[in-house]
Amino acid sequence: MSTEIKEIVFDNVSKFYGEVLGVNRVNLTIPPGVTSLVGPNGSGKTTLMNLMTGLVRPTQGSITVLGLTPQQPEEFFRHVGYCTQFDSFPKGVTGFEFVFQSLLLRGITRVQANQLAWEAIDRVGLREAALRKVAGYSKGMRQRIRLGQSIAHHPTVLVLDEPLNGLDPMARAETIALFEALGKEGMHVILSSHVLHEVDKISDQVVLMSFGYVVAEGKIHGVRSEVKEHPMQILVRCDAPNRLASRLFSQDHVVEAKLNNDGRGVLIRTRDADEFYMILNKIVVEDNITLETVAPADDDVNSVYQYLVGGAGGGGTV
Amino acid sequence: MSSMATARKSWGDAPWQLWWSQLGAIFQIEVKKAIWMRRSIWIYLVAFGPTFLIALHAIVDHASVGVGIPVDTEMMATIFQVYYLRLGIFFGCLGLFTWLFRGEVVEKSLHYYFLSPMRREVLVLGKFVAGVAASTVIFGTSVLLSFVFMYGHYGAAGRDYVYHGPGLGQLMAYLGVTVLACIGYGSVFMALSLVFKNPILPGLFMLLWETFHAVLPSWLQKLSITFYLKQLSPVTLAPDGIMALFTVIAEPVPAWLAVGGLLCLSVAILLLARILIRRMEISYLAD
Amino acid sequence: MAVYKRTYKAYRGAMTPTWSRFTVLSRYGFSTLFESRLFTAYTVVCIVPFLIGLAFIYLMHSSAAQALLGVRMGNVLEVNNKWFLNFLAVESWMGFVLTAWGAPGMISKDFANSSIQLYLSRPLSRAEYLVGKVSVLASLLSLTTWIPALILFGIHAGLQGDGWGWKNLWMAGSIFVGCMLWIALISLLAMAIGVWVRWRIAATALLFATFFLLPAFSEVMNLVLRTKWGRLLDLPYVIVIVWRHLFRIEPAGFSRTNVDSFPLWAAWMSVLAFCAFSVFLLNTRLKAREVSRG
Repeated sequence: MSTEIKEIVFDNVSKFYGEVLGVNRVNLTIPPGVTSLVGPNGSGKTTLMNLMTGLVRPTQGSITVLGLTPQQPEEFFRHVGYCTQFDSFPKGVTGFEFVFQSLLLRGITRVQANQLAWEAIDRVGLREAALRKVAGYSKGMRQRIRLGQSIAHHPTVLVLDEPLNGLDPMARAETIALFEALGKEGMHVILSSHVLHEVDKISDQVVLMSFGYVVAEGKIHGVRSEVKEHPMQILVRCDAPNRLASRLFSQDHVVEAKLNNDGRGVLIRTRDADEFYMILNKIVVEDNITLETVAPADDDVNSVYQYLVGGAGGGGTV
Repeated sequence: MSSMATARKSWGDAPWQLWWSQLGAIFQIEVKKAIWMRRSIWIYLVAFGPTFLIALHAIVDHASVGVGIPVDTEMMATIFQVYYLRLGIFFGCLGLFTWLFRGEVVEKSLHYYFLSPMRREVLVLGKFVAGVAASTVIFGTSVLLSFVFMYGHYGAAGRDYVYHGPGLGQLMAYLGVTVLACIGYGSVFMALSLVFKNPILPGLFMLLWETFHAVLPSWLQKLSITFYLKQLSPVTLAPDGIMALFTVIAEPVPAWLAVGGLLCLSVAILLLARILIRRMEISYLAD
Repeated sequence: MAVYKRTYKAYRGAMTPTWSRFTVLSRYGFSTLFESRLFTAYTVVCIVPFLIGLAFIYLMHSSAAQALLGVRMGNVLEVNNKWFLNFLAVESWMGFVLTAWGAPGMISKDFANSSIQLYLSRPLSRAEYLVGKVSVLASLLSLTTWIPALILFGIHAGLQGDGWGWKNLWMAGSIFVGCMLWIALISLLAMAIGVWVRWRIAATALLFATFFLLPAFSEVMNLVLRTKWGRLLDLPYVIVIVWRHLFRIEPAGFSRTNVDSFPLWAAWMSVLAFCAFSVFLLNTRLKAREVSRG
């Protein structure tokens, strides 16, 4: 059976809207887990998601999701749920009706649909508002009910376009936890965002996009180590930062050692992180230095994105 | 395996149960939308305007009681052929059927259908059947009520005309033609709404085509919905002046051929709609 | 924040005159309409009757051209009040399609996208907003109706000589008044429908329904209630009555049944009532969205 294939595969996919480029020559294989599509507005994230779910067709190339294509809708959409960015609903429906009707369209019986709808509504925390018209919902509630609709049929692949937009901090935290849980259950969760620090926490892998091209993909640490031209930054907090800085600075791969203002830490920039960690262990033992923390300072999506694309990553957004 | 055997196997393997339940779901959603939404008010006004006038006529115009049945029969036929068939059902179907897809694009909700595990052909069929049901209910009820008001106030003479005269046959024919009109116009408008962002201007062209098809060559007349419908109308009107456009039939065809011809035309248009919907992408630009 | 640190200053530079501010809407209205190549092409098509009329008048007055083409015009078609009325009838219906195409979108989009509040919260009053929108239609329709008609009138008067122009100067007035009435009617109606029906397509359909379905309904009314007053709802009919009066055309020139039994005052009343009702609808809808300014 085709669904034995576990990946989502883009094979040389391009999409042009007339003369406007959507995405170009995308070759991508997405394994199970939480994958984030990261890029600024207009970088092609939504196009990639629409291509994946058959809402638009590629100009060239092919896409398969678990070995299926949207041309086999009965099988394909049994496995796929897509929460789009369109903040719109069929007119006049309540939250419950919205989820319930979409389950009926899937050919699920009324009794079963009723049960699944309430289960999804509970999962997004909207039980109390479920019987009210969607038109009266806040932006966050609308986002949550759309999320509920996309997971109600228990998909294997969940595609989410900017799913955290409009959510308050509490709802954000809950939703992120939900994505993490779904990813751990073995589901493909593909989400797009331009708020990097949020997706950074939960992503197993990232796809970085810019101007319609995939500029990097893979696990975030792997992608970071590929960026050779930008030395890695590592913050070391210890009781003798001055001594540590002087010892480290004599190493060839260390290009900068900068003391923290509070006098309790040193920020190292190195071209070889593995070598650095080995040397650090040695120095700590030899000089009897007490370490508090050792943490990469730019081993995150935000920094990687800045290095690769040059976008403004300040404030956590691209 | 022969191609026939392959076709038989794929026919047998097709998920009929799923398609059937999906059709049912679309039907329920769309009929509810078409019949109960506020935007349908104008269609009710178009449909029930003449009914209201005929009811008024039944209440006020007692002078013609007992002597006016032939006059009122002609009046009913004129109203049906000129108002309902040419304009009322035409505009009603224009509103209902263009909204089925174009309305979903305007309200940015079509993607919910496209993201369901549903063949787009099933979606087209489901929406079309729902549109036909809604328009038939609205216009069928209005024609039925108009007929009842037209003959009801004649009392025993009216009942005699309906049950023992040609009345009941005429009513059945009016209702049958109403259903066929909804099918014919509906298929055209649904296809137009899939091709054009603004299907009204092609709709206007169609109105002109349907009005003036009587002066076109006979083979072109067969590409008109009203060509078939006017042949099925139970009462023939005198071709006086401009009325000739609505009544003259250059090459009459038997009733079964008229019904079959119209259904074939509608099926052909629906097949075109099937191709269009398969190619459709979601792009909610300003409408 | 300390006062000295406050660097923000409201704009105090030069402003365009208030009276001409509505032209911003007109300019954008024109550019939006002519973004569509199809609309532009149709606008050009609307000039075709004018060119035909021009050729006809020239041919009538040029015996050399007649001889060259091998035609004898004689007195088959005289350029008179009926000729101009027919010319305007053709141009008016073409203008109607132009309006139905362009007008509903001009205003319904502002309502559908809630941008009307933005316009009215700026120094733009309801009247200025309306004038800005209507001026687009009025200019377009003028270019396809009374302006070409008056040009033809002038050319014919020049070629005919013999004081024809002075003797028939009233016809120029009729052309202008008749066209203005038509322009006001369809522009206001299209705008009012666009305001109430926010979906452009539905607004276009409703405009067509007003001009095609309502006359049919009025005929049903006449037939069922055995009256003639149903025609008050038949806009194409009442406008013809008014035009016929303006162009001093004898009743015999019209073949429509019972055309003469409908009084002129009722036709005028119907046209003016439709205009007034449209203005009322527009005002009601716009007033509800106007941001009050101190």
